[in-house]
Amino acid sequence: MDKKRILLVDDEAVVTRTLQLYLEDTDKFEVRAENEGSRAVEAARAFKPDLIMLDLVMADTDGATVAEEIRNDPDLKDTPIVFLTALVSEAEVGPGGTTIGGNPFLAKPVDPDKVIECIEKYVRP
Amino acid sequence: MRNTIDFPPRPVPPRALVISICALAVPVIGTLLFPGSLGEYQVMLWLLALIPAFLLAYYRGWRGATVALGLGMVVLAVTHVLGHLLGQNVQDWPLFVIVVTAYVIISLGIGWLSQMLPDLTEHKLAVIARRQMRTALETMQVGVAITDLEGRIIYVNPAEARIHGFSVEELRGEDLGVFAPSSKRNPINRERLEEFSSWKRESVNVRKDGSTFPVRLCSDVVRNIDGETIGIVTTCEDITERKLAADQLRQTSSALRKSRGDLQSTQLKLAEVEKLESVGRLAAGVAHEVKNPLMVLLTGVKYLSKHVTDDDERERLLLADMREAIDRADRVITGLLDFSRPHQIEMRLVQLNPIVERAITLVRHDLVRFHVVIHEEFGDDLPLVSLDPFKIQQVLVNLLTNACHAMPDGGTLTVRTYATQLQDNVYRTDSGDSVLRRLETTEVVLEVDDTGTGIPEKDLGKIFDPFFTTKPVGKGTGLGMAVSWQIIEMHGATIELQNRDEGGLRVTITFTSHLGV
Repeated sequence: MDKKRILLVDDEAVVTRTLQLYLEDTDKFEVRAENEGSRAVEAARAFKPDLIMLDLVMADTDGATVAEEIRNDPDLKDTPIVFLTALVSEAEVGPGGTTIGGNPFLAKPVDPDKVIECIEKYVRP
Repeated sequence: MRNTIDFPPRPVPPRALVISICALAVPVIGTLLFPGSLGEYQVMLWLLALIPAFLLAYYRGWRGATVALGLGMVVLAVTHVLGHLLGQNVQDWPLFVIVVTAYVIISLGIGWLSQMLPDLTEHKLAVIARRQMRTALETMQVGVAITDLEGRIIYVNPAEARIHGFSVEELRGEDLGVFAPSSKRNPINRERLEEFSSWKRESVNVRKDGSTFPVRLCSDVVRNIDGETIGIVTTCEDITERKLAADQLRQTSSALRKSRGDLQSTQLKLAEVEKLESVGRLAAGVAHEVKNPLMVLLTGVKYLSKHVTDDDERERLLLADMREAIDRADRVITGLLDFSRPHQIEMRLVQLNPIVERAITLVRHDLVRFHVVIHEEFGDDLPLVSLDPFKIQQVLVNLLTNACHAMPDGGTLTVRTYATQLQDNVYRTDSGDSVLRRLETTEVVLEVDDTGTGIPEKDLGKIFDPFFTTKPVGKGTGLGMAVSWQIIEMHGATIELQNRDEGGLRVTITFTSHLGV
């Protein structure tokens, strides 16, 4: 079975590094990390991920802008995006299923197994 | 016994003095001006000289008469001697002596009589004074009663009778005890009376119809001219209105004190809220910074957990504790984040029941875990309520979770919704026109009853305080109810906690829906 390609975009390298370690440890994913939001689209074009996990608040840009650029890119527009954010809690947005800008989101800190569940839910087979 | 009254000497009016001086002057002047004529007029002159003697005798008694006669006789003697010296024809000495003697007797008689007979002027003045006093007593609004030493009423003024619902005639001769409640009717202690000068007191008197009223009484003893006590005079003032005013003043003052207390406590609460809001804002900034490290820790712990073998029991326990610690830190941060941002609410007109159902679904896991049976008693056809569904759902999840935690050994959770018509037929005038509008106020109530341990009465008031928790250390953030309270407040709704008589706690949330008809 092909490994799913996951692009992690988060300005905190320690977050992407641990999550990358965890995801790759399952042997189901090939993970690339990008710690500069402004280079996320470029990285996505190069990597062609099956899913992009995007931090909402980053030092140089915000996740919503990056998501818009991705949606406007003909090659990437269908790539699923999952937001990973420390800014909202589930209680605020409403439990389960509620989305940010039409994209699902996970609130940090999230159990990495739930990250995997989420990836498997949204990645196209 | 007759009272001797020591009258002062009557003042001599000026007219009497003038007459006296003229009468004394006329013989002297006549003797000097008309030489030779004294003998013919001497008897008339003697009569004139006696006028001042009679007047003084009348006004000043016999002493006055003596003085006047002395003077008169001097004058007469002078004129008689003068008449001889001027060679006038004068009366014989024997007649002169007889006339003077007769006049002395008559003058002294008048003086004595004027002293013994009652003075008519004095009598008139006394009558006038008594009338004035009576009018004053009858006009005044304070009751006055005079009793004899047996306590029998000798005199009451109309005010005294009116205050007690009697007529003046009905009271004359009655015992003064008729005004006192039966428990206070004491006979007059005569021995003690002698010691009294006057005494004031507040008491309760009885009216003819049996009703009672507060009075202010002031009594004094009445003495005769020899200082013997012969009666008691008591003034009586109805102080019902004064008492009412005093009560009202006391109530107003107590209400004022309470308002001041409320104001102070509100100020304190406001200061507390402001402090907490700033804590909240700070926490929101911190939360973002803390959640990333927590994410790293959580991922790391999960990674290590996967790679620990079953034999590494201690490592496994350690990792479980670390996992628990991360969850706890996350709960606190999430709570603070919620607390700092409850202002973003989106009100919608919705049905309450589906929101309650969704909240119950979300805590289903806890219900099963704590063996809690749930009863749903949802009212039909509840009116729409304006609320933020997510926020209210958050409150409900919090309440239901708390209820589950309060029943660790299982129990029953009853969730009830119903509507009540608060006030009907309240009419309000729209400002600017005279149209009357019926205002219907409906309350939509949600009750959550558990069968847990309830909350100690002393803690009920603190439940909504941030960081107050009855849960064991580490189990609750102490923010759930504080956030819930904020959310409920923002909806203009109310939340109340109440220990149920049957045991357990009842939480009541009341939404108000004003729908003009």
